[in-house]
Amino acid sequence: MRRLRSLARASALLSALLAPLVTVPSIGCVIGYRGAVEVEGDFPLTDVDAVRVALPDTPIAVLGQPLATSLHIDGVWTSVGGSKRSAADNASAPALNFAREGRFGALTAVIPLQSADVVDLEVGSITMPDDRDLEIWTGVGDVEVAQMHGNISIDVDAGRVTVFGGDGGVGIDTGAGDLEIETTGNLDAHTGRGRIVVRQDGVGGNDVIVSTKRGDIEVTLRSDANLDLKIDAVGDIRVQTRTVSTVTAGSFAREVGNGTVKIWLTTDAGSVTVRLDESL
Amino acid sequence: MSPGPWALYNGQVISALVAALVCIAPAAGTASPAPTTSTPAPAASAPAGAATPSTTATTTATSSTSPSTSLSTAPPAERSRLLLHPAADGTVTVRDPNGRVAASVIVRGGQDLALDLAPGRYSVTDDTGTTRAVELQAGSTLEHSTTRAAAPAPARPVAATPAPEGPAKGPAPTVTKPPPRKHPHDHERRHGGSGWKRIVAPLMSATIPGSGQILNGQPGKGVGMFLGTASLGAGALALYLTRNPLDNSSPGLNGSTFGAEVVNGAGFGLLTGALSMLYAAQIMDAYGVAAHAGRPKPATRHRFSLQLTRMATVGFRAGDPAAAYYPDWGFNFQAQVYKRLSVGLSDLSLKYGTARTTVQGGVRLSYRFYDKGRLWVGGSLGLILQGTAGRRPRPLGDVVSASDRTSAFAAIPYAQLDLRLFFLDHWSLDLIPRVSAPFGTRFYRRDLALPSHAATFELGTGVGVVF
Repeated sequence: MRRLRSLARASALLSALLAPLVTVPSIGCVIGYRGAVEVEGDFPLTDVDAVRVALPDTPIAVLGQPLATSLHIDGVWTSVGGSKRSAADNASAPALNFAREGRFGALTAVIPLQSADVVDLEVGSITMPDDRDLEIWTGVGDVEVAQMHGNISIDVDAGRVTVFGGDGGVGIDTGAGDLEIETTGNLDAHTGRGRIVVRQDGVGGNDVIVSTKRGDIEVTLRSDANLDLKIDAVGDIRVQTRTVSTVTAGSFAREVGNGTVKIWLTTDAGSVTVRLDESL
Repeated sequence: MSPGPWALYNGQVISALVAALVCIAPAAGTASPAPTTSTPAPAASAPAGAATPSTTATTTATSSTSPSTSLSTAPPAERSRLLLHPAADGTVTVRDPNGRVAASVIVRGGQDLALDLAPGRYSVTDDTGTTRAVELQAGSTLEHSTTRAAAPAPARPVAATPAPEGPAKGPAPTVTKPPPRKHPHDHERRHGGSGWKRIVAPLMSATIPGSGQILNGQPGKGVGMFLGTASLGAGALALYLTRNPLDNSSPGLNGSTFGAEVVNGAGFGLLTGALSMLYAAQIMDAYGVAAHAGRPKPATRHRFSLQLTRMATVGFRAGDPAAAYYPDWGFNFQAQVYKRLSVGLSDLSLKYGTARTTVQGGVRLSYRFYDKGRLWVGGSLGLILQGTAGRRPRPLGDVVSASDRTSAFAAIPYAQLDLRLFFLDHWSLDLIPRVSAPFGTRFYRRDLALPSHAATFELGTGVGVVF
C-alpha cells in the first residue's frame, strides 16, 4: 500500500514537472502563486423564515439543527496571484454578506470586480435551524442537504444533489448530476443528465414528479394507495407494487383508487423502476 | 452541326463543377494527378478534306513563325501556339490529357496551320495513328512536323491503321522558351487565371475544406486538406467533450486535477490553433492556384496591415478546475510609417463574462528585421488596455457592501515575435509567441481571468493581410 502511495506521489510529481515542459513551448503558460484564507460567519436568523444561499461555484453541504438560531458557515477562499502578496490580497478581498428583507434572508458572496474570477470559495459546511425554508443557488458544485424540515429548493448548473428531509416539499433543478432524495414532502425534480433515486419517507402519499434527459429513475414508495402513475421511458419500465405490477417499455399509465398521489416519471434515455418498500 | 466553342466551353465548366461536387465526398480516393493548367479549349476544325497518307512524324522546336493559317481555340489570356507542318494531306487530332478532343483539323501537305490552345499537355495524332506528346507553355510556340514514310503506302482509311498505345518513339518535342519577363509571375498576375475559379474555389474551400483544391484539379491535395481539417476538428471536439463539469463539482479536490486539465487545455489549444491555420491556408491555396498566382512576393512596401489573431495560453485558476485554457481573440490594425517600422492599434476585442463586460484595445510598435522571400520575421512591443464594467445584482434590503466595485482597469505590456508566412502576395499566416505581465486583473471571456503581475507566455496564431 505504501509503495502504491509513493508511486502515485511520484506520478503526480512527474506530471507536475512535465506539464510546464510540454505546454511552455507548445501553447504557453502562466507563472504565479496560489493563496488561501479561511472564512467563517455566523448570521442570526431571528424573524427569518426562509433563507437563500447564493454562492459562486462551490460544493455546499447544509445540515439542519433543531437548537440552532443562526446560520453558521465556514470555508476557504482560494485565489491566484502574480506574486505571493497579490495572491493573499485576492484571497482576502471577498466577503460573505447576509442581507434581509422582511422575513427573507440571503447569504451571498461579495467579490470586488478586481478580484472576480481569480478567487473561489470552497464551503466546508453550513448549519442552520432545521425548520426554515431553504433555497440554494450555485454554479458548479455538489449539494447535500440533511435534516431540514422546511421547504427545500435547489438550483445548480452542474452538480450531484442529495436531499434527506424537506418535509415542506422539495424542488430541484440541475443541468447535470445524479439526484438522490429521501423525503416525506412533495417532490419536483429535474436533471439534464443523471440518475434519479427517490425514496418516499414516513407513511408515503407524497407526489413524486421527476424527469431526466439521460439516466435511469428508481422510485421506492412507502404506500401504493391512490396512485396516479404516469411513466414515460425509452428503456424498460418495471412497476412492482401490491396494486400495480408490470414490465413494459415506452410509456405506462395507471390510476389506483382516487389517483391523488402523482407519480410522474420521465426519462428520455433510460429505464424506470418503481417498487414498494415492503418493510412497512 | 458541331456546337460553337463557347457552348463546349460552358459544358466543360459545368462538368468540372459537377465533378468537384461529387469529389467533395471523402471517398474521392486518390485520383491521378490532374494538370495544373486550366481546362483545354474546345476543338476546332478546318474545312476541306483529302486523302490520308501514311506518315511518320517528327517534331522540331523553333522560334515563333507566322503560319499560313491560324485557328484560335483558347481564350486570349491563356494562348499558346501549336504550329503544324504537314508533309501530306490528312487529319490531325489534338487531345488533352483526359482524352477530350481539343482540336481536329484537316491539313494539306506543305500548308502550315497554327492552332492557338490553352497551355498544357496534349497528344497529337495524325492519320497513321502515330501519337506524340507535346507540352505547350503560355506565350510559347511549338512546331510539329509530319513527314512521309520511307515507302509511301497507298491511301487507306484511317480506321484501317492500328493506333499504337502511348506516344511513339522519336525525338522529344521541346518548347520554345518564352521571352524573359521582368517578374516571373507577371503574366499570371496580369491575366489572373480563370476568373470564376478565383472566386468560386476559395469560397468552396471556405465552405468545405479541400473542395476548392478539387475544383482546381488537385483532388489529392483537396482530399488531404479535407481529411486534415476534419481530423483536427474531430480531435478538438473530442477533447472538448471530455470536459465534464461534474469532475470538478466534488468537495475537497483542492486542485488535484491540475495536470490533467493542463494537458487537456494545451491539447485543445494546439488542435484548434492548427485547425484555424490549416483552414485559412487551404482557402489561400485555393485562390492562389485558381489565379495562377505562383510563388508569393509579399508587398514589403505596404501601407497598412490588418490581422486577426488568437493569443492563447494555459494557466492556473482559482478553485476547481485548477487550470484552464485562456484564448484571446483580437483585431490588429497597423500602418507602416517608415521602412519596416509599423505602429497601430492592437488586440481590439470585447469580452463578456458572467457578470461583467470588458472592452480591450492597445497600441503596438513593430519592426520587421527579416523579409526575404515569403517569410517575414519581426518583433513588437505593445500595451493592452482593458476596461471592465461589472453588473451589480439588485440589492436585497438595505445592506450593500461598499467594496463591491463595479469597474476595473488593467494595463498589460508585452513583447512578441512576429513570424509571418505569406501564401499570397498580400495574405499571410502568422505565428506569434508573446510574453506579457498584467498590471491589474486581465479578464478573458466567460469566467476566466489572470491575476495581476502573473507572467504570461502566450502563443498566437492568426491571419494577416497587407495592403
